[in-house]
Amino acid sequence: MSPIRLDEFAGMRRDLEVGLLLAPTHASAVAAAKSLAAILDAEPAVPVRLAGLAADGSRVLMTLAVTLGEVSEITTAAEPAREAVRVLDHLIDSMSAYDPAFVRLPDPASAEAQLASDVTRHADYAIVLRVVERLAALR
Amino acid sequence: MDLPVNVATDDDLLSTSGARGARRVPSLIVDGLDEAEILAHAPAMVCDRVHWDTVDDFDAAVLVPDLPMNAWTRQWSDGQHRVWVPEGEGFTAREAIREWCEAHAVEAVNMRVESAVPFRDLDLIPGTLLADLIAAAVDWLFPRMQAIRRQLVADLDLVDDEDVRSMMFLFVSDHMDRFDSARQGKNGTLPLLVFLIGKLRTWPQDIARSMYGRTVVADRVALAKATEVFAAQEQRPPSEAELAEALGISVTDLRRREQTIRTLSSMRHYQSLVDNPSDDDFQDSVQVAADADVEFDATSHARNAQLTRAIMAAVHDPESSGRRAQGPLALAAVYLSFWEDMTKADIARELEVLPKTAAAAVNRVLDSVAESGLE
Repeated sequence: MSPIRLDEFAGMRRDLEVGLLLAPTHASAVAAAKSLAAILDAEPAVPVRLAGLAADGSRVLMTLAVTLGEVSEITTAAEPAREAVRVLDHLIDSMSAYDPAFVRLPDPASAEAQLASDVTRHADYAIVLRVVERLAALR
Repeated sequence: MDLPVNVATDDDLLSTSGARGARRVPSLIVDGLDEAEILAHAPAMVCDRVHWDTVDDFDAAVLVPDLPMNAWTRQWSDGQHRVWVPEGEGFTAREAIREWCEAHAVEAVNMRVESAVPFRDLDLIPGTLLADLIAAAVDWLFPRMQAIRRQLVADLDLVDDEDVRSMMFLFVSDHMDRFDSARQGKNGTLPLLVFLIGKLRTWPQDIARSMYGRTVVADRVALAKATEVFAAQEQRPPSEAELAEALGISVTDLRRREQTIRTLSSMRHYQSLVDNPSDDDFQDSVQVAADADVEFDATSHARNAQLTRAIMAAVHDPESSGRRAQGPLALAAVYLSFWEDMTKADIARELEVLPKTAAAAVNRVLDSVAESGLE
């Protein structure tokens, strides 16, 4: 399955998502999740979803899928796409303590994508935070 | 703790200059020979030492036969060159070495003479006795030098605990030729291990100063001390202003010094030695699992984050307005190219632009990233 979120069906929106990885240490993962929630609450115009959640070595890996916009908006630098770039820049700047980096979005069938899907299905930050806390406890 | 087999067990009690009880450090025994018997093959001498560095790789052994006096050389782990000559001939030897280097197009730098230093020609020790003696010394010292090992790992950003044993082997090897066992003290002659313990005490500071420079190491020690004192008194980390006041410097100066330390630390400790996370609940963020590859974690994530920031700086200019910047297209093209492994033709098809437009967008970002100093 292609990880690119470009829908090939004519007439449907063809949005492009960019993967952004946050890699806080175990001890700072919950603080990172709280900061992230606060930033996303303040930027409702740009869709951002949790695409992956995993623990690796000393880090908790949180992969975000930031919607850059519809293809025609991206190619013409329309306002929604420029706003998405601004929010992405703001995210990278604000979360700089957690090494934000572009990353390929995880395969939806992967364990990290499944875990992210499970916790976000409830659309409840408290649940997300609890899962992050559990990942942070994996030492 | 078990003692290594090659160590004499006569570590009986003795009295120190401070009238405190202490254990006698044993003499080393290798292949049935006492350390004194082994070192007797290479008797201690007093020599002058010529010490210098070269711009290119060089082996000082090639010039020793050409010197007009008896001379010895030995490789130390720092890669610099040393030649020992009989006492009083150091300056003559220096001039001879300088002339030899000029005649052979060897670029020598910082050549100096140290007079009256102890030296042993360790090449005279037969077989593997010297290597075995060094190994026995490290076997005895390594488990007993916990504080020094901890300090090395804490102070030197590129040193892990598993590196310290081999570093200690090199340290002992370097110091073997200057061991002067003839010195007599209150408790008898000086054993090799006591001599090495004395040298090891200042090893972490010496190596940190040679690696970072005296000023930076002094700054780091002062910062750590001031932070600890403040935290102990106030039960919280100091602010910048409080730390600057404690050190008697300005906040600007404090930031400059911290930045210097941070730059030196950034390769290994991406989360700086001098910063704590701002969240009060999670100050202990440098604790990691024992099996975590900290160096890989720190450098790979930091590197990717640096690259990401450089790309964002190339595609997003907050000062520009309107559509001229074409930031979204450039970002999409770069992302699809490097994170989705698409060719420029694929990118052009996905984004419904001409291939040359996609290529231009990617190249513009790459040029900007290259200008930022990233490779």
